[in-house]
Amino acid sequence: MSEPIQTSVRGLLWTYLALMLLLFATWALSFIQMGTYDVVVSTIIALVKAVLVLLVFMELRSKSGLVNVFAGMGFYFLSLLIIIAMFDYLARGGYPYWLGG
Amino acid sequence: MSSAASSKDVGVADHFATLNQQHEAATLGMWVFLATEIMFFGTMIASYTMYRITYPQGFQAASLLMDKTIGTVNTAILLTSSLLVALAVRFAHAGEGRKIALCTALTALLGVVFDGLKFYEYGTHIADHLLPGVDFHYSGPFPRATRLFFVLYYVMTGVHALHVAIGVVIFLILTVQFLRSSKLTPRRRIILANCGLYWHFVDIVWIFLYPFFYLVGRGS
Repeated sequence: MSEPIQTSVRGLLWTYLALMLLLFATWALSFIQMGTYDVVVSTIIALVKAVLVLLVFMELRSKSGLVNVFAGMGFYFLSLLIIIAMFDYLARGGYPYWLGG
Repeated sequence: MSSAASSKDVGVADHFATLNQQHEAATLGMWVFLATEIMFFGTMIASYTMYRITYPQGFQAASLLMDKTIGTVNTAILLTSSLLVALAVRFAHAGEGRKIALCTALTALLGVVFDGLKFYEYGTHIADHLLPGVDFHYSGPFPRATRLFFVLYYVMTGVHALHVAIGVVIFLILTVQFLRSSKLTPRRRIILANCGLYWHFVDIVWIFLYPFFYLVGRGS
């Protein structure tokens, strides 16, 4: 039986360290006034943390393409939901504050 | 037929050819479930996004009413529990069954601490009359947006806390099972791996809820 490639204990610990550093970065940056960029920065950091959990802790990087497609479908349809809803809201005349509205 | 059955890995169900195929099918099924969970939380995240765009200043003011320390500590707690679950799955693959019960027990404990802190926080908000629909008195700026912020806060973090509570029960059951016997059968490995996927998903949801509710207001 060929086992799929697993992340070593050391690899898991390094990922955990990276996640905690990113958490510290989000927390520290929340004390800095960045104007319209604050939501962008905190969302990007959250996305990086989520990707680390997905690829390493949830082992998606060592799973087959089929599992990755199924995993990606949920996020794909979620992005469709948000993007299409955003189109509707923006078409009503208002613009988000980070676009100067 | 008998020769085909005897060539299969031990513990493989009749309708699978190999252990890997069985594991892959179970993982695939779990991801289908998680996709429904993504859409479940996704609708709420979409609502949050729309209202935050509509009331940017109100959400910033309301976020300053949150306890950033509790939110940060709870994030660290869930990230640590995710590491423990990943280690448990790793130990299962390595055949080190005895270490699994410790990891699952600590995961359940951290889940209890997380929900404990969450309910303590709910208590402080309710004491401050910040419970929309029941007792909401807020004299600061943007009262309407603040009310909306707290509706989303209670619903989204409440549903998430329920998921954590379900996870705690699951990991307590796993702990008892692994304390009774540390023997690692293919079925037990699959169950542990899928429970781990559930817990990591709950962690990912919180990774987004944390900046959504605790980090909107700046410089506090």
